[in-house]
Amino acid sequence: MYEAALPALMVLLAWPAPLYLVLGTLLGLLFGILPGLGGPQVLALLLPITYGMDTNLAIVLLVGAMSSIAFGGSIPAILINTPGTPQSAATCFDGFPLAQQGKAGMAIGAAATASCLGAIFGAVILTILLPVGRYVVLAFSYPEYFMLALMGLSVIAVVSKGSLWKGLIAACLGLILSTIGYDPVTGSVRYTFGSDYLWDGIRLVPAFIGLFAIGEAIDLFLGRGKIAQSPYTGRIGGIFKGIKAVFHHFGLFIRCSVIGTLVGIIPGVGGAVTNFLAYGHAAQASKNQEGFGKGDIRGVIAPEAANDSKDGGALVPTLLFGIPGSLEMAVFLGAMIVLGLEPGPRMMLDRPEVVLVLIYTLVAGNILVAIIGIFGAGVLVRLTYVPAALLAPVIFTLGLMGAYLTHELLADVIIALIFGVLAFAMKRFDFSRIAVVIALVLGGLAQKTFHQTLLLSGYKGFFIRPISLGLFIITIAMIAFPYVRSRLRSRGEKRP
Amino acid sequence: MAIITGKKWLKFMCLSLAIIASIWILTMSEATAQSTFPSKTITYVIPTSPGGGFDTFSRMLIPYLRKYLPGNPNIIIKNAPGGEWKIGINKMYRAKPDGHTIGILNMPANALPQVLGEAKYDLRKATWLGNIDDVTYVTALSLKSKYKTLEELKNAPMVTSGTVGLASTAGLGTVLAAERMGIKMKYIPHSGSTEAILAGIRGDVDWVQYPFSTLKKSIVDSKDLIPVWVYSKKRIDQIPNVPTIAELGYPDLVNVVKMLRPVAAPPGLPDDIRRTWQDAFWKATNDPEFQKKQIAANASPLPMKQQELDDMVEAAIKLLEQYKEVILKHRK
Repeated sequence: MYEAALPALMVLLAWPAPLYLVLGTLLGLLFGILPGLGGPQVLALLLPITYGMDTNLAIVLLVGAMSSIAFGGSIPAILINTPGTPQSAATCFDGFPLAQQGKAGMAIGAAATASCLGAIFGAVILTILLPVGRYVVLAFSYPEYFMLALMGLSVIAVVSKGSLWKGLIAACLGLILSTIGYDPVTGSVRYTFGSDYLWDGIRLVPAFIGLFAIGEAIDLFLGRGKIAQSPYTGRIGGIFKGIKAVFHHFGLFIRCSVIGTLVGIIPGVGGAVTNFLAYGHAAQASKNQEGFGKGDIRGVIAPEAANDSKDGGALVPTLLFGIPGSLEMAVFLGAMIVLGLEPGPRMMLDRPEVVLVLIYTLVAGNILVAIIGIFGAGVLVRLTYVPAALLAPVIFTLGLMGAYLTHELLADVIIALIFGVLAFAMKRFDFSRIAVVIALVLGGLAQKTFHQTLLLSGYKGFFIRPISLGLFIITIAMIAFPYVRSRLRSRGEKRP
Repeated sequence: MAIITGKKWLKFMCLSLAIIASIWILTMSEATAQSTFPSKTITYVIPTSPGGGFDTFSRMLIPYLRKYLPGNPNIIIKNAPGGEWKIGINKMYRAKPDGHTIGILNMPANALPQVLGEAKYDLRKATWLGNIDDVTYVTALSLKSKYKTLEELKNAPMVTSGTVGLASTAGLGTVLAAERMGIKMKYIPHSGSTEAILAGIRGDVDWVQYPFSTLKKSIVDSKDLIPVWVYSKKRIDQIPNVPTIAELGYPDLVNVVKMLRPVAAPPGLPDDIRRTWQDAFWKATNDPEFQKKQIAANASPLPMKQQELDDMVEAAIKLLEQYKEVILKHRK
C-alpha cells in the first residue's frame, strides 16, 4: 500500500482535484453549520453529481465534504449554543459560555486548531494502525460497549456540580426518554402511544435542536441585550490565543485524540458519543474542574480533538472489514459501491491509491477548513453582538427548519418545540441540560448492550473479560478520584 | 389592555415573522399537482437510512429510470427511516396517486405488519411497478464456532445467531430456517447487519445469515466467516464449494428464505400512468449497463412484470400467515 503514496499525492495535487477539494469542503462546512443537516445529507446531495466522474475526483469531492462537517457543526455550537450536528454537542458546554464572555474568537481558534490537528492525528494513527487494527476492532464486544457507555454516563457526576440531586434528576429524565420506542432485544414497544413515529424513540437531531437552539432562542427573547456580555470593540481578538491554548494543553489534546481514534475504530458506538467521552475525560482528569461548563477552553479542545480524530479511526473497520464505523461511513460505503468500487478488505490490495487519496483528502480538507475557520472567525464572531431581538427569531426559524429538514416529519418539529420549552424550564430552575443530553445519547447504547451481554453470558459476562473489567475499574476510579483527592487535600491541610 | 410599543413591538414582530416563515416553509411542499405525468419532480421514498443495499441500489437505478421516463423528469430520493419501515411505506402509500411518489419495499418482511394486523397499509392494494433484484441469502458460521456442519448444528444444545430483530427479512429467514431444520437457536439482536456480522467475526455468535452481496467481503475476500450453504437453486459462482440448501435436503427453503426489492406507488394510480411507469421500470431494470453495475456489486438482477409482482405479494402474505405462530412466539 505504501508504494502508492507518491502517485496518490499527485492525484490530490493535480488540477482539477484542488478545486473539487475546495468545493467539497465549503459545502460540507455549510451543511455542518446548518442544524439538522450533516454528513449523510451532504453525501446524498453530492452523489448524483459524481455519476460518471473520475473515481479519484469523486472521492476527493465526497471526502472533502465529509472532512469539514464536524468543524462546521462546532461554529454555531460556540456562537449560538446550537450544535450543527450531534457530534458537536459537547462543544456547546464550554464554547458558548466563552462566547458569552466575549471570547468567541478564542473558542473558534482553539476549535479549528484542535479539529485540524486531531484529524491529522487520526490519519497518522490510521496509517500506522492498519496492520493491527483488526485486533482492536475485534477486542470490543457487548460488555465493552456497555462499559464505554457507563464511563460516559459517569461524566454526569462531574458536569452537574451545582446540585448532585438536580444532576441526577436530569440524568434520570434523559435515561427515561432514551427508553422510548421499540426495543429490538426484548421485542417490546414502550411509551409510543400507538404512533409509528415514536418507534425509533426520541431522535437526537430534533431533541438537540430543542434543548439548545429553541431553548436558547426563548431565553434570548426574555432576556435583553446580546449573547456576548462584553461591549463590542470592533476588533476580534483571541483567535491566536485559542490556537496557543491547544499547544498549552497539548497533553490533553493528545489524550482526547487517542480517545477519538479509538472510539472511531470501534464500530457501533458512534460519533455522537465520542465528544462526550472526551469532554468527560477532560473534566474528570483535570485538577481544577470549577471552570468546566462556565467557559474553560479545555472543554472546547477536548471534544474538538476527539470528533475529528474519530474519522481516521472510523476508516479502520471500513477498510479492514468493509464495516462502517459511523453513519457517515455507511453512506460513504454506499457511495463507493455506486462509483463501482468494492469497499472492504480487497480494496487495499486492488486499489491502494484510492485508499491513500481518501486519507490525504481527509487531512487536506481538515487543514483547509481550519484555515477558513481561523480567517473567517472575525466575521462570524460579530454574530454574538447582534441584538437578541433580531437574533432570536433567526435561531428559532433555523432551528425548526433544521428539525424538519432531516426527515421532513412534522413530528420532529413538535419534538424540537417540546424540548425547547423543557430546556428553558431547566435553565430557569438550574437543572443540568448536559446531563439530559449525555443520558439521552448513551442510554440507548447502554440498554442494548446490557441486554446483549445478559443474553449471551449473563451477569458474569461484564467481569470475565479483561477489557470490560478494566473499563469498569477505570470508571469507578474516575468517579471516586475527586472525592478521594479532596479528602486527602483536607487531611493535608489539617496537618500542620 | 397594554399597548405594545417600542422594542417590545419589534420583538413581537420578529417572532410573528419567524412563525409565519416556518409555517410557510412547512406547507411549501404541498404544491398543486397536475393531472399529466410526469409534470414535476418525482419523489422516490426509501424507508431506510442512507447507506445499505436498498439505498445503494435505488441510487444506482435512478439515472436509468430518468432515461426511460417520458421527458426525463427529475427524481429525488427521500430517506424516511423508522418504525421498522412503516414510516417510509406510509409516506409512499398515503401520497397522492399521481405517479410523482413511489417507494421501494422489502419483501416479504414488509408484509409482516399487515399479517400481524399492525399495519396501516394493504400491500395488495398498492400499485406495483417493478422489481430491482433477487437477493440470495447465505448462512455463514463464525471461525470460532464449535459447529461446522448442518448435522452438528442440528445436534447442538443451543446455537446463537446474530440478527437485526425478527421483522427484517434476514431475521425472519433465520427464524424460519432454524424452525424448519429443527435447530435450537438463541437470537442475539443487533441494531444493524454490520454489527451482527461483526459479532460473528468476533465469535460472539455462531450463525449469521445475510445476503451474499453483504457477506461476500467476509466469506470470499477476508475469509473471516465460513459459508455453509446458500438459499438458491444453484450454487454461487464465487463460492463453488458451498452447497445449496436444496442439495442438503430442504428445497422448500429456497422460496422461503429470500428477499426481493420491488418498487410500488400508492393505491389507485390511474392506468395510463401505471403503464408508463411499468414500461420505464422494465426498460431500466433490463438496461445492460445497469445490470452490469448490479452484478459488479454482487447482486442478481430480477426485473418483474405485473403478474409476477402480484404473485409475489400474494406469496409473501401467504408465507407469513403460515408462519405467524412461529413468529409471534419469538416476538413475545
